[in-house]
Amino acid sequence: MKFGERLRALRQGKNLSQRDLAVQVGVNFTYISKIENEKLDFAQFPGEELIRKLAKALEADEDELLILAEKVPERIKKRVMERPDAFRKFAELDDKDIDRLLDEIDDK
Amino acid sequence: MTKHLKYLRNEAIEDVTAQRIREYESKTDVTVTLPVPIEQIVEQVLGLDFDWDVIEELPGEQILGGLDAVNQRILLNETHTDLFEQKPGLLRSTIGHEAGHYDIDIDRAKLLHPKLPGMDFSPSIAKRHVKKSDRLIEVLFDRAASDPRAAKLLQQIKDGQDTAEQKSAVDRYQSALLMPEWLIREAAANLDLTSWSILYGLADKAQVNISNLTVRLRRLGLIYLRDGDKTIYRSEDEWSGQKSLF
Repeated sequence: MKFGERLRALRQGKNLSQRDLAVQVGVNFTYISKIENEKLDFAQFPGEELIRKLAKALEADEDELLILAEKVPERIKKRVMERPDAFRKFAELDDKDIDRLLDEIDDK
Repeated sequence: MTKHLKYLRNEAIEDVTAQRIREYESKTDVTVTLPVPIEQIVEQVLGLDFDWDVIEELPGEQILGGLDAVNQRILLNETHTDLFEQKPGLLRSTIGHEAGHYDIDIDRAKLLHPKLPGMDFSPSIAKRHVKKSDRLIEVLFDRAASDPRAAKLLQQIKDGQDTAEQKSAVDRYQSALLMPEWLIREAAANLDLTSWSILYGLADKAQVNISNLTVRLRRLGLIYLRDGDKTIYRSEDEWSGQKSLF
């Protein structure tokens, strides 16, 4: 799912109009429509601060929205820098091994 | 199904718009009050999205919006964002108007329309504003080729001549959707509708333009206005009575 699609689904789930949401996060009312319709180029795309505001207004998972917007949440970036060895190894795993590890973590 | 909008009765339009509002209420468990949440109704009941883009205009005219029925989108002209921000009622009536085309006008089984210049889709309609006459005019692009009356209207617009505003079904649709009879009667129950300041307050409450409201109130028989006369009467009988005094 793309960021714009997810934003639309979340907004409609909260029964907000594009204008309502625009007012809540302090942007022009046409901007929400452009995000949802994937009509923004890289330079115009919402930054982390706005994505956080959107997540808060929509009571959504901030990390999920950031990742959909292809932005790495700050606390994850921080952990990557703290333990690059672990993340390098993790990146080399295939999906099957990652799923197995996640199951182990969930079982703890 | 061929629709003859000209002959679509007011009652039928009132029924359709009331049904759309009920569908929205049922879906969201929200009781609709003024201002009617038209954007949510259009999105959640009619399944239309909103899209902002620049629509090319011919000299001397203004296109506020169009319907991209194929892609289920109401296209709004980004060129006029400032105007829409200044006049939210205009944005809401434009949305209602285009929704009307989708709901009661177009044959959704036959979405074949000629393309607007510079657009990659075929909206069936656009609202145009002739600056010289200061009136909103509807141009039926898809009928201009086959309907001489529509072609004549287009020519008049291009010539910049005054053209009387069409009392079209889609305008009745947007009016009924934005100002449902039961909500307007309830809101107006204890108001003196012969006062312009009260009417402006009601227009503000419904988030509609004053002209849109007065047309609606006249249609519902709640006020009587004469062209060129700023005095508001409760009814034509009241006006007749006043006239007979002088």
